[in-house]
Amino acid sequence: MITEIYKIFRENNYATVGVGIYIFFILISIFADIIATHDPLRINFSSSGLARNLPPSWEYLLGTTSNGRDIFSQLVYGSRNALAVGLSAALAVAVLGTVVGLVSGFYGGWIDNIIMRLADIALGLPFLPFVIVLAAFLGPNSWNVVIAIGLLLWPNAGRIIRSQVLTLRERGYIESAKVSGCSNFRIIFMHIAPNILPLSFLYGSIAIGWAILTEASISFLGFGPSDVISWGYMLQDAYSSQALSLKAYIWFIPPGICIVLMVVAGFFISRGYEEILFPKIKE
Amino acid sequence: MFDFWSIIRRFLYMIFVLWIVATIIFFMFRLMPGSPLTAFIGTTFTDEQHDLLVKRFGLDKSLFEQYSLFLVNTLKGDFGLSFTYNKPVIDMIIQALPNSIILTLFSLIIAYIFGVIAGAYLAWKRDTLVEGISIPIVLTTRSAPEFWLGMIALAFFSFQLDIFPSGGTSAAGVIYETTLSKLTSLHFYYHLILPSLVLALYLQGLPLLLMRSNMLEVMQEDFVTMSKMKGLSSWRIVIYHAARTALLPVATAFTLGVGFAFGGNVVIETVFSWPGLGRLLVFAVSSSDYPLAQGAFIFLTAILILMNFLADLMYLFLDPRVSYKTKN
Amino acid sequence: MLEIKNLSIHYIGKNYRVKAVENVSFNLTSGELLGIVGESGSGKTTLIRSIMGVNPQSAKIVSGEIFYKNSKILDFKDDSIKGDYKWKEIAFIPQSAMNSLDPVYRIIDQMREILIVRGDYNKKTADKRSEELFSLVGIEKNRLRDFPHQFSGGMKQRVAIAMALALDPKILIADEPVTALDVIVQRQILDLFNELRNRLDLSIILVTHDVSVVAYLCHKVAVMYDGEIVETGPVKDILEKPYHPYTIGLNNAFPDLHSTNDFLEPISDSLFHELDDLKNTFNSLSLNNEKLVKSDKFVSLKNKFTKLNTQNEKNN
Repeated sequence: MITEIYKIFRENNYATVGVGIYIFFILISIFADIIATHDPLRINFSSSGLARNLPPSWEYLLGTTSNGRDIFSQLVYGSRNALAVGLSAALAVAVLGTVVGLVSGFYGGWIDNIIMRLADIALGLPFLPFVIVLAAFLGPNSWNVVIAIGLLLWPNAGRIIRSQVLTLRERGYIESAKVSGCSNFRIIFMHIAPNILPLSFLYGSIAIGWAILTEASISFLGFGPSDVISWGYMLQDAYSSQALSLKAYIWFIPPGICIVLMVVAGFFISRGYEEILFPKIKE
Repeated sequence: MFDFWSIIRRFLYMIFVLWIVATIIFFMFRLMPGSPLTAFIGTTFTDEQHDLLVKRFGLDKSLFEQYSLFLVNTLKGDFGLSFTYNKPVIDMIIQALPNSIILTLFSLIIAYIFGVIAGAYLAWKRDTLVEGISIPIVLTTRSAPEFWLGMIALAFFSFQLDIFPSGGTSAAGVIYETTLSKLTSLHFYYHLILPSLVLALYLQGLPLLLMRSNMLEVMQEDFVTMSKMKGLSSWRIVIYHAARTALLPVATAFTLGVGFAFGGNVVIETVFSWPGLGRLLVFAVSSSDYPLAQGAFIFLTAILILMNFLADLMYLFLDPRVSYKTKN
Repeated sequence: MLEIKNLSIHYIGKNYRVKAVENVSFNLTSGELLGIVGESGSGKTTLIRSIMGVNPQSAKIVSGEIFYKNSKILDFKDDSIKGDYKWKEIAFIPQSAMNSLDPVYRIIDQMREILIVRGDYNKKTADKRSEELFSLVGIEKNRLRDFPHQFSGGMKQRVAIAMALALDPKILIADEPVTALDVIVQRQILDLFNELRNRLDLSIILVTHDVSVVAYLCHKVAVMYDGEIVETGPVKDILEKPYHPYTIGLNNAFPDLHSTNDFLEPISDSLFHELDDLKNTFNSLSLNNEKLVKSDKFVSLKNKFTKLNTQNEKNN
């Protein structure tokens, strides 16, 4: 089994790169305390006063912000927030989408109907504006994004999983399981779920990227928490401190690159996984 | 050829969803911390003035009365007065709406035209180096936060090279008389270019990947093989047969994309100080101007749901197989 | 008219080689009805696709040639089909279950496409021709304006036949034309083929796994197994006095409606393995090997099959 998985990764560039990026950031966030050079929130002073907008140096690897904070350390600690939000959201989507898809597809009838109507309603609410409004009455909080994703983005995963369950339901071995007296619960979890899990995983990996992008957007708009360092917060800080006109590229380009890497890793993994699940028979 | 009942049914369902969503919005905004007025009023008003304002905003009525009033007013288009500007919310929305529409449509059209052509091209170039390089690049454009791309564009093209303006729909002091004069003004387009190109860069990934995967699928279809057997030219097969079928989902995606982009444009509008609906919402929420926030949010939702409905219809019309099934 | 000479087509990939068609030879004369019988995997699809020039990139013509009216249209040195004969000289009728008509265009538009682009018709003459063709295959001409999904299976098959006849070809290749149809409609379509052959002086190659179809319609039959033609000859001979174990097995697999025998003989897998082993022993790719055919092993194998056959005949 392990050798099988290993072989899959070896032949499959996308999945490998994607997982590699994740591992990279996971390591960084675990060892952030060691890797970072300063306290990311600390306002630093130099001999001439506030250490603001300093260019990269050995002391401040990527320079400092307008408030005298070390950019590099912010970048490093930002990975923690990104992973926390990303993985929670992925879990939310995967779990909700799977459960909904399983129940809806397997039981059908009025349960299915109600769930599909709920899906339509969830899809009717514009996503980013919803997170903004959520931030307004729940307060600026990293978890707004996760809640919003959980509430609004489960239909995509849910629908696909549901249709997969519908196909599986008609298969012979399900019939025979029913006949042999397996409880519905058992059937769902022993027979159908294993076939569904790859899809859950797929949507989960895409959700990670989506969550990180959304968190960045929300922070950028000023609705994110101001005491937590995140890459989105860095971008907002840069923007409002006129980093653009100051052409302080070193400030706002690295956080963006980190975001891109994390999101693209999600895409790569889902692509790699897709190739494994649905191999295209080459002509 | 089409089936009226099926359209009516979908339309009614759309109304139903709109109603449910409006109700959700109603309760959402009521649940905002404190009375809607506290953030606005603060402690500097006397009790008398407080009561007057409460009456004026109808906050003394029962929840049910407020709800019915809300529904009626929403249908009339009366969203009340903005707390901060004391202007009718609807007027502010009407003013901002065209800007959002133009930005969205402009960017989407560019993105989709590029995406469709590039996607078909990449499908043609299956298993080549071109494909191997292009796909990761496209995925990267989809992974970058749009506002970040906007920031880079602004920093480089606007501040560094000074080619494009740094935001807004016009330079300070310039006012467009009417929407028509805005649309026909070169000055306007000068301001539109940067935000719409940045947005288009982000958006093109979807149509590109979609078109590519559709084309790959269609090229495997039997009728494509038959066309080859008939001796038709590759050109003809790709354009008249493969592309035609592959475009169906892309057309639907476009319609859905409009609804979606409206909400998502919030950030681009902020980066480029583009006075659209999204930016209005952000402003309203950050200044606790709840009538304005509610109005803007309702509008964004309504547009999204409308677009979903149109996309549904479009699929009905464009695919003869589907429209035939519903006829029977 | 059409001559296939020692054609071998292999699918070659990074680490595999599938010998789909191996040393196949046969010819088709004017007005002849040839049946090619084989199960799935026998290579008949690859063979047909080569004649129509639509094999995928990975299918390489390793050896052999195809001649049409004595001019070489394909050989292994140059992979592509020479000459503008597609649909004009040789046309194809797909399997009825296939999605062979573009679903977004009306039939009349698809007819116009062939007639105008590949033929010398204009819109007016094309429509007239389409009406002719439809009446030839027995469909009302007002159905020309319909979409493909509006036709039933049997009707779709007639449409496919009409479309194949558009440019007045000399040869029709039909791939499992009646497999997905019910028995009554099957008969109708097969009779139509016969009628068209007589009226238009066509040659038809019928590719199928159903021996009864071939028995009903064809003059000559070629039996394909595992990429090779194992037997070929007049239908009567081959089916009454089969020589190859596979053909014998095929015969047994399609019970006579009148027979009292109520069990079907499976074509024994192990016997075929023995046959392959035998081929390896004699280092031969096919059964065209005198030593092999004279060997005791082969005789005993053949006897095993013949025993079954005679038993069945006795019971009838």
